[in-house]
Amino acid sequence: MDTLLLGLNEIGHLNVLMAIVIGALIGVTIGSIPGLEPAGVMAILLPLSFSMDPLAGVSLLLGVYGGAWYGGAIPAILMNTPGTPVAVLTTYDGYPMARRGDGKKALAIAYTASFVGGLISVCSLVLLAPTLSQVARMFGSAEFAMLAALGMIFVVLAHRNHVVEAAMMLGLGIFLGTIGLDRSYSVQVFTFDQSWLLGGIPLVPAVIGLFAMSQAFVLLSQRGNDASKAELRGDGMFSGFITLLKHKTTVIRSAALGVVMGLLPGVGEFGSQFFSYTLAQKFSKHPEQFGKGAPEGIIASETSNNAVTASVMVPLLAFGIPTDALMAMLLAVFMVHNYIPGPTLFVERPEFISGLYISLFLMNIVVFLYLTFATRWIVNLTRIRGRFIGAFILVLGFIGSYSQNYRFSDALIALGFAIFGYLLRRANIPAVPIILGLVLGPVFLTRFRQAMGVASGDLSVFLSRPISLTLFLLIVASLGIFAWSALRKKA
Amino acid sequence: MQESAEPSQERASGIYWFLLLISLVLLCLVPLEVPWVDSSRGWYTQPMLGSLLGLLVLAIFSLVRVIQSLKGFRTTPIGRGENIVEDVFETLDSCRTALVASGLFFCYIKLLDLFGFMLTTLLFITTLLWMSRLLNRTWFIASLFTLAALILIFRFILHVWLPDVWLYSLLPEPLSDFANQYL
Repeated sequence: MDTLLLGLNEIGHLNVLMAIVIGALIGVTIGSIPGLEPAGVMAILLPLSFSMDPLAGVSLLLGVYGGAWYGGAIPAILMNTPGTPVAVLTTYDGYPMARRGDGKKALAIAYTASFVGGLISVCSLVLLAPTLSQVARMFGSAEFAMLAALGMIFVVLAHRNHVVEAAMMLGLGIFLGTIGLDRSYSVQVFTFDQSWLLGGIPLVPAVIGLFAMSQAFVLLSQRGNDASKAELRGDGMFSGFITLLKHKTTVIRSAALGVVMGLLPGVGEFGSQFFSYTLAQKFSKHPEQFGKGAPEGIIASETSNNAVTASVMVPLLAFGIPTDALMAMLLAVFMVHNYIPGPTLFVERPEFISGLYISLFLMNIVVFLYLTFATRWIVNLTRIRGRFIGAFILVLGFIGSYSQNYRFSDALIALGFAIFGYLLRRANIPAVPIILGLVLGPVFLTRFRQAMGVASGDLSVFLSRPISLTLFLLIVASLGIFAWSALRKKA
Repeated sequence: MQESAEPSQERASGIYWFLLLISLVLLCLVPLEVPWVDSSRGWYTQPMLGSLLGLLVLAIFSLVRVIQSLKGFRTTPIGRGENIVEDVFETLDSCRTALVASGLFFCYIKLLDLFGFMLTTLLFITTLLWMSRLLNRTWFIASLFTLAALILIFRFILHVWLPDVWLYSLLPEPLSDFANQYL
């Protein structure tokens, strides 16, 4: 109770409340504009969040992250164009509903399903993070090294059709993470005697370049009329809860899947929505209506992808291991403020943890209310041309990459990553593993060295400790399952 | 509509070759760029460990894709005996907007010292809109408003610092100070 009050006290500060509201509004705006991804905007806001209080900074980014998943449903339903990549399955049933004049009803179902999924996800975070952080108390360097390795391997395997490309990019990320001054021996690693590389490859320009500016290039390359006005028709803007009550089982199953998938590195929103949509169709009384405007389809898709948003934070808070690029950005905010995720954070900063939980609850409420009452105005955002947005993303990319250290060289690094990110987008190669390699690579190497040092260079240290052994077996099993399924596919 | 309708597989083989080449060159540079440290602390503390791990992963997996692309060599423009130079230019042409935008972004950064944030950004945005055939009265006015909002947020409220500007040095001192601080 005391912790809750402390959390409320933290949240009560005007800057935190403002961060929640502004983050949520930005998130919804981004989500409702097709082609604009939250990762890019989060990357641009990252340096700004460094200068804020830790809770305000994290709340701002989480608001953008959560709000975008809600907002993505608007163009998905009204224009058959997913606002965010995770709203793909919402188009299957949302758009047919809108075409038959039930656009408002479809949006209401999407918002309510997202809201319920979001709240269940926050509850799972409240329950699971402290419990798992107690498990993390039993972790030594060997376990953390294995966990980081498991995280990297999961992220690669999660790119099901691009595993080789993901592994390639992970390798590149690990390499980039080693550039700079080596801490143990103070020797330069791949700096080519360039002083600006001594501090290593900065995360913020890399993220901005790969996700925001490369996207700007894509938007600027568009031709013709790249925007269209979405029409909002029908009624039933407040009928979402009634529809959800009719499909309770789908809601619970989709939310549970979302929570579990959020815990697994790299799987996230995509895996959860595909699983929950497939299961919803399988167990539905009217599976033939899926894809033709079934409310259950929207519920399955929206509940599951929003159920991921808070549970994806569990590995980060409990173990300090980010499981996707967005969590890597959050980790950067934590580190800047010297808040080290893991068991000690729960003991040393209980007010921050409680404040974080409450801020996530508030974020969901703010977004839900905003969407319910302001959709008729938000739909106008779909008129904004992608090329116009692309031009301003480049300016924001400059401000974001420059303003952290006030160095023009950081903006040039961002430009380099942007060109590379653009080439990757054209070749359909995932960029997320680069960031995870950049963040998890040094974690793995540091912990590996520590564990080996303690064991006097004996590699069996990773197999002689029960948790480390379990994690090692998980790595072997996941690689084995992947190899087996790949061979079966070939046969 | 995107600039290029080229299949991603064909486009990707070039990037695999590029990544393989880069990784091999960097692997060759390891002894020069990450010297071996004489130490009794064990091989696992050597600074080159991480770089080697990353580069080997990159090299091995890009080699896999390069070998796969060689299997379909006959279907590539080179395998069909087409002009390689022409093909390179076609590839460059298909991403001309990104290349030009990158060049403009580079110039934008370089010009900030000379003309200041407001003028350089306006010039940069206007050029990008013109280049992408979106420069008309509506979007120009929208650009002006958006730029004003950016200046208000980043220069007035968040005080993002930028170096002093040559153009503003031509103004009288109080005005120059104001312009350097906010514009």
